[in-house]
Amino acid sequence: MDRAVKKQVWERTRRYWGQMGGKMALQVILCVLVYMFFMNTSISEGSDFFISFFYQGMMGAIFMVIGPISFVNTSLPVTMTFGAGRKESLWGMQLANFSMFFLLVFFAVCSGFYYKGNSSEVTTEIAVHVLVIYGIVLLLAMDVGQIGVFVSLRFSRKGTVVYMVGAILVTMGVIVGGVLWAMRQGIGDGMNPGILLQSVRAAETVGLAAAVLLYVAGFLGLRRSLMTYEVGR
Amino acid sequence: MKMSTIDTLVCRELTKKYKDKVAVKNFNMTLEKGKIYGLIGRNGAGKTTLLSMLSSQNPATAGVVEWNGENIWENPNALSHICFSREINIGTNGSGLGEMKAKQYIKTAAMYYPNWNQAMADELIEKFELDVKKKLNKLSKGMLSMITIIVAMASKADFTFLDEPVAGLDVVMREYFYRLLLEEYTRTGRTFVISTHIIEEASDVFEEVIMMKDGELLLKENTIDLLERSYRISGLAEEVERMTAGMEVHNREVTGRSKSVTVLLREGQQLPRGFDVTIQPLNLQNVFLALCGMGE
Repeated sequence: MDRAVKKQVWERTRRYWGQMGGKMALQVILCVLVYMFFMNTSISEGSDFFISFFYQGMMGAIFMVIGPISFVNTSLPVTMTFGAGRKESLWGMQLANFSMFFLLVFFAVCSGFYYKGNSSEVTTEIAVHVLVIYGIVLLLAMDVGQIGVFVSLRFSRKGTVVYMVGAILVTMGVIVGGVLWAMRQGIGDGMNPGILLQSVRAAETVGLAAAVLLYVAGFLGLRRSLMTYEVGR
Repeated sequence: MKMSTIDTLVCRELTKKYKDKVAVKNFNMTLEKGKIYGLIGRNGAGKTTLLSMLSSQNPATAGVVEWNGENIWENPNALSHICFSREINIGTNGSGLGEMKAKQYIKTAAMYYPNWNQAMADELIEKFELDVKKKLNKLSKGMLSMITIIVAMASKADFTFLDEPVAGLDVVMREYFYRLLLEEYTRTGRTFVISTHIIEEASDVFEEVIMMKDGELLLKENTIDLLERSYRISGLAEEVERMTAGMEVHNREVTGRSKSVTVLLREGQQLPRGFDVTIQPLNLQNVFLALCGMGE
């Protein structure tokens, strides 16, 4: 590929798909801010903030599932109508997906405020682990979304809807389950912190490995599907 | 704007098969630079499928499309010279497309076509009195056609395909479109392929006609040459049969002792004289009906 053409392709991919992902992340952030405003939640106060924290985490993960799937209905046919190649679209979708990780930055900023107000309860190590776990959750959610794109391209609309509903329920289940488990373990509630942190590190390792494997599987499946994708069919 | 020196877009043995049918069969064709082609065929003849493959929007089952000798598949350099502004169908193009605003659709097109002319797009938006802030699902069929025309014209692509561009347009707008097409063609020498069912109205702008039938190329010919070799012969059945013996005959109609046929003269053939029949020249629509009508 000619250098000028490569630059052109990168530029339009960055502009279009980067914007798509950024827009999605912004939508979640706005929802969270509106929620916090209406619930009159102070960023550093105890359980009220924890609840908005929780909802932010949940909304973010759900958007990471829905976001990629929404590309199939609009962005993919439109950009390919206008001459985008299949590999270009594949990488564009990855850019959009990973742009949504801006959510993680927002989460980190909010967490920073919370931890500042509750530094006696929450150590830096725990704060970092919460962030890492949320990052892994977002990655897993993105994988689920990417696999959903593959499902949407290969199977009927009904199949996609069933997959999406299932994926969202599972995502919510995992998050709720994870939070309940953490609460039951009782952070700072007399449990040996060494053992807890060991479990958390193990869960992170397993979670990250699963996320990477699922990502690779989703990516390869999607690449295959895109090669036979037909605009307008 | 720098125009490319590309001469041709060639398709060789282009085929598209689905589970239950073959949409395009072994299609061989060369599109030359600087011509307006009319692509005509019945519903389901494979016109849209052909245009989709010529622009890499759909993958071919077999065969290849080459732009200046380069395969266009996954070739951004080649694809930057081709524009297929397809009919915007909210139901099938993508169910989320309807929620997109017209402005956003055109803006996305501007991102993807390297030679995009925004001034032309703005001028056409104004001429068409299009409200680009509206969502696509709030626009009429005619307005959606206007958007496809805007994208096609403003893309400034060397090879531009339009699928039913005048569908839903009133007669005033259709006339404007044909005038716009000719002006753009004269000014830039771009190649246009227009697929349409309103044959007679559009035939004046077609330099060449590409006729498709059942996924195959029926003919590709200069429009004037085609019309000059097409006639409707009517008279007594015996006279007509004697006169047209050995000729390519289509669309036979028998009424009592009278018979009417359409003949297409082959190269070098001439209409024999001395027969008591009526000979009528045909327009493009009649030729199409003779070749692709029911019963043919």
